[in-house]
Amino acid sequence: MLDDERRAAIQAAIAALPAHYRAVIELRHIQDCSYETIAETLHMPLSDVKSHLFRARRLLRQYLEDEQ
Amino acid sequence: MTHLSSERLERYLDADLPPQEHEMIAAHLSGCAACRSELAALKVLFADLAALPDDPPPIDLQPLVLARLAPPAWDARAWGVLLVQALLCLLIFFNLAPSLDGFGVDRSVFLADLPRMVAHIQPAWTNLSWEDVITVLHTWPWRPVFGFSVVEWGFLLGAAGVGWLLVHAYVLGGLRKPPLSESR
Repeated sequence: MLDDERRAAIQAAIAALPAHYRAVIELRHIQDCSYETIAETLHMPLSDVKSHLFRARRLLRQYLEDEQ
Repeated sequence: MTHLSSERLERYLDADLPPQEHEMIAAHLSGCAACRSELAALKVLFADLAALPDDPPPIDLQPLVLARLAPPAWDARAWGVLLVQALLCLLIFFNLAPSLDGFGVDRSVFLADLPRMVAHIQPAWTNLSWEDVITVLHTWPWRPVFGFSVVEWGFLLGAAGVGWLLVHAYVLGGLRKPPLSESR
């Protein structure tokens, strides 16, 4: 279980992401969608889904590290 | 020792690698503390994200989807090229039309005057007159090529360019998706 502070930090980090990165993160990690479903939902190639996820996670980690 | 990239480790966690590569990474991890540490940090992030409540505020996907479905905007250069090509089309019309009498224009007179008209836009930085160029093209040794002069072939290629631009912009352009911007 996440403590409230950690949860708030992660939610703030997600909210700070650019919209298209936030979308892939939420679809993948929160709504547990497959790469293919994300690609269909956002009308983007599978390769873009993967690269967006990678960049979004990197931004999230940077944000969370900066917060600590 | 070469360490694994974060991207490969993420794909490893996502089970998005071919079985052979998955096993190769697992073997590498067993002998590389740095990569195991990186993997552990990623696992924490993945676990934290998975532990978030699954009823987040709804994502407004409409602008994202519409942005990707919209045809790419044309910049000034594209319009400039299209304008030039459209002018070439007009020249083709005047050059190849069997008779321009209906427009009150004598085709032979028009064509005879065309080099002089074009010569007026001769750039100042060259001594070569456009009239000279067109005269040379019209007196080319192999002037008739499949019934068209070099100039006419040039005009025809211009028309083909217009067709290509239109097809590219309005047919293929609708299928191509512009890359999403990094900016917020």
